[in-house]
Formats: sequence, C-alpha cells, structure tokens
Amino acid sequence: MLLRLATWARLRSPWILHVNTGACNSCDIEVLAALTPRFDVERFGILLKPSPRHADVLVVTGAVTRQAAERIKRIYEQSPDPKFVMAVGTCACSGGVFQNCYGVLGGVDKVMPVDVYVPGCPPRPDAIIYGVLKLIEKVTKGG
Amino acid sequence: MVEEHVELVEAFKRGLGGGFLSYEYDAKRRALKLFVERGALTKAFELINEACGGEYHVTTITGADLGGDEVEFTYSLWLLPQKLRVMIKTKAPKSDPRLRSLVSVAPATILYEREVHEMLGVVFEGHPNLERLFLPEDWPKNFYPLRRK
Amino acid sequence: MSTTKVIVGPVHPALHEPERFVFKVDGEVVVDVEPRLGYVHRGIEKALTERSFTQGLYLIERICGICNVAHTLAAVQAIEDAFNVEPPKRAKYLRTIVHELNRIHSHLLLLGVACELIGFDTLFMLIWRDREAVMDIIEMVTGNRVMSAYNIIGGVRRNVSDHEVLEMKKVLEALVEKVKQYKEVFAEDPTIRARFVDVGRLSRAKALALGAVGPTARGSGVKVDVRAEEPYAAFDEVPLNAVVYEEEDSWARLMVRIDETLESARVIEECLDKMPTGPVRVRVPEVAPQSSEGFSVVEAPRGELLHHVYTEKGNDKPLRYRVRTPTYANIPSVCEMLKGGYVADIPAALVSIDPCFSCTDRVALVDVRTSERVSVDLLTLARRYWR
Repeated sequence: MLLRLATWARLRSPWILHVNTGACNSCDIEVLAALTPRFDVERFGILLKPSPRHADVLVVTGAVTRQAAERIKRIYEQSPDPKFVMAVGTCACSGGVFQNCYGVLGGVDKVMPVDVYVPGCPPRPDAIIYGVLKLIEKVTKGG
Repeated sequence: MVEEHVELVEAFKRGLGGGFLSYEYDAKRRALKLFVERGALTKAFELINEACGGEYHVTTITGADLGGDEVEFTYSLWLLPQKLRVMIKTKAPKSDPRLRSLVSVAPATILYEREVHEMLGVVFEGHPNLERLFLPEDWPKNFYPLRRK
Repeated sequence: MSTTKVIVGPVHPALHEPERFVFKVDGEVVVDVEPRLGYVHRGIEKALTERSFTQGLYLIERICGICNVAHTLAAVQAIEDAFNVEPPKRAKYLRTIVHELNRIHSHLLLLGVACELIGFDTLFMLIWRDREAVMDIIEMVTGNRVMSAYNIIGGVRRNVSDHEVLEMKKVLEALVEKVKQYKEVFAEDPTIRARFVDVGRLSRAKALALGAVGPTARGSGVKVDVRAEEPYAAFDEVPLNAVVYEEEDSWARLMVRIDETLESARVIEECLDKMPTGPVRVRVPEVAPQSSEGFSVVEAPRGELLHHVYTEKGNDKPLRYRVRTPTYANIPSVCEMLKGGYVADIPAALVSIDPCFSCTDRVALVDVRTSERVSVDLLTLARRYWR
C-alpha cells in the first residue's frame, strides 16, 4: 500500500483541507494523528492546509449541522477544480447516531457530491490513509 | 448532618420565611436539595453568598418539562468553604413561565438563563440579553424544543 | 499592522458565517466578545428523551469524542443514582483507570495542539508520537483507540487481565519520564513562554464569579477539582491531589495539564495496585424501577461535567436529560480573558481552555470604527498576527 502511495505522490501531492461540520471531534483527532510520526502521511507530500483556495481534497467530518451546511457549501465553491471530497467517519457518511436529530442534516452527500466514504466511529488513521489511497486510485483511473 | 450544613439550613429557614418549602440532605454525597418558592430565588442566592463569603461556584441551571402544568428548575451550586453541593429547586407554572434573572447576583448564570429561555420558553426578567444561543436564527420564533406536547 | 486592512478569506457581510466568536476590535485591541455556540448544536438533550437509556449511551459518548469516557461515566453514574443501583468495587476501579487514561490522552493532545498553533511543529509531533503509547493501552483495555464504549449501566464492559495490568504500568512508567521532560520545556522554553505567559489573563475572582471550571479555573488559583471535592468511582479510596497554579494566564492553564498528566499516571498506578477482585458489572433493569432523579458530576479533562436525569417508573426512556459540558461553562471566562487584549493573543488564549473545537474553525473580527468584518481561521490568526 505504501509503495503505491509513494508512486502516486511523486506525480502529485494532494493538499488537504479538513472541515468539521459539527462532529464530536474523534474523527478530527484521528485525521490529525495520520500526520504524526507513527502514521506520517506528510512524507508523501500530503499536507494539511487551512485555506480552501489551496485544497485538492476536502476531508469532511461530522453529521453536518444546519449552520455548518452553509459553510461547507461555500468552501466547496471556493476550492479550485479539480477537487475531491472525502467523507470521514460514519456521521459524515450518513449522519451516524445523529440521524433524525433536529439540528442535523445527516451526512455530507446531503450537501455536495462525495468521492470516497470512510466509515468508522472514528475510523483509525490507517483506515483514513486507506481512504486517501482509494481516492487516488479513483483519480488515476479517471473516475 | 455536618454542623456547618445544619447552620446553612437554619439560615435558609430564617431568611426565606414562607419561601422555604423543604429540604433533603445526602451526607454521603455531600448534597443538599432545597425546595423554594420561585420568588425566593434571589434571596436564596444572597444567603448563599453571605454564608460562603462569595466563594461558591454555579454549576448550571436545569429546566425540565416533565409533562405536568409546571416547569421545574434546578440551580446546581458548589459551596467551597462548606464543601457542599446545593441544588435549589423551584417551579413556575406553564401559564406564566417567568423567573427573576440572577445575572446581577451571580454572573455565571448569564448563558444558562439564555439557554433555558431558548429551550423552554421561560422568561428571565431583568436578563440583559435573552437572544438565541444554540438554535439557528431561522428557527421558528415560538418553537421550544424541550417543551412537551 | 492593522487587522482591518488584511483580508483573509472572502468577506460576505450578508451571509452569516458560523464563527465560534465575534470579536469587536479597535485596531489591534479586542473591545468586546460575543460567543456563537450554535455551530455544533445537534439537539442531543431532546434526542435522549426519545431513546432508551442504553441507546442513549451511544449518543452521549459522541457529545465529545475526545472526552467520551467522562461523558459515559457521568451518564452511567447519574442513571445508577436514579435507579438506586451500586456497581461492584472492581468496576469502580476500572472506571477510574480508564477515566484517567482518557485524561492523559486528552491533555497530551491539547499540549501538542497548543505547540502546533504557535508554529512549534517539532514539539507537536513529539508529544503526539508519545501519546500513541496511551492510545495503544486504551485500545488494549477497551478495544478501541478513541470511542471506548467502556462504561455501562451497572459497571464496565470488559475486565482487565494481569498481563494487561503489567503492560499498563510499563507504558505509564516510560511516559512519565517523557512528560517530565516536556514539563521542563513548557516551563522554560522562551518561545512557549513568549506566546503564553501573560496571555488571556483571568483573575481568580472573575474565574469564580463567571463559573469557570477545570484547568481554566485551577490555572487562576481556584482550588476545585471534582475528584477531590466530590469523590466518585474509586476516588474515595484513591485520593487525588488537585493541581493549582496562581499565574492566572494561558501558560498556567497549560502547566496545570502537564502536572495533572503526572498525577493521573500516579492515580492509575495506585488503582492498579489496590484494585480488588470480583465481578465487573451487575445486572440492571431495562426500565426505570422508580420515578426519580439522578445526577452525577465528574471532572472531565476540560473540567466539571454534569449529567442530570429524570426517570419515570416503568419507562425505558428518560423524561429529561441534561448535560452541561465544561467548555460551555468556560465561555463567559473566555470572553473576559480576551476583552482588552490583543487580537494576536486570541488563539493562544482560546487553546489554553482546551475548547471543543478545532484550529480550522473561524472567528469574526469586526472593526468598531469602520464596521468592516473579517472572517479568519484560528491557525492563520496565530501564524500571521504574531505581534
């Protein structure tokens, strides 16, 4: 897996914008953990950026609260093409345990198209990295 | 019952007069429940302030609609010198859901009163700013999520 | 450098950006602070009245993933209080151990994030690397790195073997040595001191009057820690020493957490030594055995956490469920800390209360003279506006 990642990264190094749409933070800390020495995605050029104008991949966590929906729509619009969306965590995939709560829309695809779903509550950093790999596969196959 | 705590209960009985309804004491948990008339809330806080020399912590205000004609309130406090948790309980009828705001006496109540107002439709008279805290602005005006049908 | 001239991100005054705070500024000085708490509002209290007690635990755990153990602990204790059920002693010890492991991971997480915010990336990476050892033992004991699902009504879900006890002791011994080194860095490093000392001042009087909790209060000399004042779980038999600093600034709040990490490691070790044998759970009815009220106050990593439940006899759902999180309690104190301070100090002050939001979250700056409004994320604010 790591060799394939490194191969692709030589072609491109995706810059990631991480957006929390009202998550409990457990997915967010596992996304951050993926950058730290034990998992270390940064050596493949995958960088976390704070601005949508530099983002290739939007990594979205959370079940999407009504207030957050406006925000991620705008972020999506501001990100330059080509752009890809990863829904990380069960809440971002489907709303998770927050389905049917009055404050929540229930999943990122209620608001924008999603390229890769990484379920888990939270998914391990390994699983998140695997999700990035799946995205790269999809992209290189022209998906 | 610890002597300090006995003194506290006596101070409430004297100071609140008819506003004092009853109390329950749990020695193991160091917790005192005090049942008062809603008009006696401000005085109760003043008495606590006196008994503690200002050294008390406001944990929160809980409003509850349990299905009856009234909304129940619990003011949860921690008294530092007495090492005692005091829960002041009071009620207000749903037909007239009003309480005096305690912000001038206990500043820590400022957001909790806003929350109870927003969730249960209770009006805290004298509160500087009873605007929405958690609900989105476009939510309907008279929608109180924690009121029961 | 005037904050109003630098535009970071597009400005759309008509659209309501869900920022965490709106700061009214005059040049570089913060004049007023308004909190916006709606961003993460998910309607949990209402949802809990529509779920059984056991179903509710899954929701409660996800109020905050970082301190999920504190939430489930407070929940099961509150429900046990209402049901009049006593969990077995061994369960109380195990609860305490996992509770403190959760605190250690949370404190190390925050310390790393604080470093990252001020650009001290190396230290962030080192702390998070060492934190992985704690994630491993949490996974060993509960089956999961983050969402532990360990506390259940009546006890805990899993027992711990003798081998696991030895493993925990080994890992914690090594970690304590590392944390002692980090303590020296935080105490003496000039970069850290420059960014955190004297930033976000909160007097003891204000901390108490405004209802501050946890390290936010204890960094300002308020000596209240629920574990010491209102002991729960095994804290009646394994007493805890509350950590207090008098400096009343962001640096003090960070130092409190470092010392608490060391104290937690000590408590876990003592629990592992004193833990009695016996069952780890008792059977509990699915429906409330009485119409009653229960509450539990615990010391979550961020501070005092309250769960309050009303039950109805024969009903498997609570009538009312209230959760008061520590970050919520600290909001008025945060506003107080930032008023009259510099815009550049906002991130360092905010991170010091260990808030339940991330660096990419945004705050709004509104100039009181021109009414110009700028929306900026905390990380950018920290890196670009350093005075």
